[in-house]
Amino acid sequence: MTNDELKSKIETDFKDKIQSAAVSAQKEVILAVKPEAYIALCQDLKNKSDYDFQHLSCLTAMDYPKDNKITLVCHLWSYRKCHQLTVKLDVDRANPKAPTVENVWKAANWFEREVFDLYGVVFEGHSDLRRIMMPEDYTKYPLRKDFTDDGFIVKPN
Amino acid sequence: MTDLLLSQIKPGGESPFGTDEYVVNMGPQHPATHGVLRLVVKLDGETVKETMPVLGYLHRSIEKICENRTYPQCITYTDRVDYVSAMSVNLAFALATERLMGLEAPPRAQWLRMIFVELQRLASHLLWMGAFAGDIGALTPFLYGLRERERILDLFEMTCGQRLTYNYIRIGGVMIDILPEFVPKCRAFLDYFEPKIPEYEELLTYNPIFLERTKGVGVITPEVGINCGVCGPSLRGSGISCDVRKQQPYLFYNQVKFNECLENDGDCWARYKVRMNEMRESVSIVRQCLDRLEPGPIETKLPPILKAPPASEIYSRIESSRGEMGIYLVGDGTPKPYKAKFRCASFSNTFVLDQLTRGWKVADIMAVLGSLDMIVPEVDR
Repeated sequence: MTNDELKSKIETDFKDKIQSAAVSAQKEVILAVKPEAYIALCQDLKNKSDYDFQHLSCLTAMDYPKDNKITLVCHLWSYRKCHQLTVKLDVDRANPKAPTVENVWKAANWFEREVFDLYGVVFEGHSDLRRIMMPEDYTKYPLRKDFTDDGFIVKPN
Repeated sequence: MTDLLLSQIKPGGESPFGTDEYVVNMGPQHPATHGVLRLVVKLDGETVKETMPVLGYLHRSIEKICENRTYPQCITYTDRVDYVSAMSVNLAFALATERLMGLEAPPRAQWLRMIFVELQRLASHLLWMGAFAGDIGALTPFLYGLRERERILDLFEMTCGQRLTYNYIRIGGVMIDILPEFVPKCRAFLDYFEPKIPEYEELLTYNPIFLERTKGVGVITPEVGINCGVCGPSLRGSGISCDVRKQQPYLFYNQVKFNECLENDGDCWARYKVRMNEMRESVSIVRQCLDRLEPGPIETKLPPILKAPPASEIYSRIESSRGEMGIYLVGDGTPKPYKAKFRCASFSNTFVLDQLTRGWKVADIMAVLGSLDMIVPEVDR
């Protein structure tokens, strides 16, 4: 399946679950998913044989303080079909909460812990949501754009 | 009191003392964890009930640093993500940036990149072989492995002046062209090295002690492997075809002939076999690259200030020595990346450690950990 075919197939199959689908200038298929359909969409993408996204390659987040949102980004890969997909979910930055995809791909466990640690997104239903990189008593979220700390100096342009 | 307890022990009966679970700390300073990895292990006698890796002792937040550096400056930091296989991470970042900005390196640079990345794979696998064998008690292969790795590092030093953190593969090409004597020296090394692989195999592969320690230990089933995000040689040991060089070819990997090494058992021994066979394939790839190397430019002309287009993003994957290495870059029209995420093979491979070691003995933790080829700076970043 080419990227355009994948995009149009997803648009017809999941039109009530996604907000938008696009092929980026860098030739990647990017989906923005509706928050309530996030888990259901992930399950379908993994289990339906047309998509077969069995491998959660990466799960990370991006901080947009201006838009008051944090975007979760999942990169999926299919070993059998050899195609790639990016799934994005926006969460509220003031109260960042998202359901966990740990029950879909177990690999998400540590990726989500990392996002919790560095961005402060709380994953509801996660089995072991603790800080993974920073000390347990640390209170800040280092990868947020407004992060400040004594030891951290922003390099001038 | 003692008399009372002793009188209760009947020959062949159960001990009145019972056994308690206890918790042992392995690391962060431990000779066999290859760096500062801490494992909290719950034991019953010598049987492992649970292994909990505690990360973060080497966390430098390279992702945050990269957000505050320009794209060419970031390459320097990528060396430190995986210092045993620095070329691979250089390549991953350079490729991601090139794809983000729509650049392409000239053919000679691409062949050079392939030569150096495959030599790096050899060096990394050699060090791994030595360390893995050393972990489970065979100390000799370490000396053999380092002896050959030294000659690869000499080749690197001859080209870019560095032996560990090269900063050689740059955006748009490579740092400097190879010297005229590089090609004959490299060929001489390959001719010297290829007969050494059977020598290592003689030492290890069917050694009864080695077999006892690795065969059937820490089995990754294909389902668990895929679900837990295991990648690279560790997953190929379970018979899953997952080589990024084959599945999503980059550089000129679609123009060279090589086999994807697969084993079906999924145990430590299978993962060892995969890596040994990969060394043979790498030798063959380097030979083919040397044959096809032609004179030409080694760098594309870059704009004075490299800027990514606004609202652009790329997730670019390569097969590093340890497995799938993904770089997620988001550009916002400035010379600095808005977001740089390093998806490292060791991070997701270490996650599976708990499942693999449950029910095995303490000593098997070392065999399993070694066979996953994890390296701490890549886990913590």
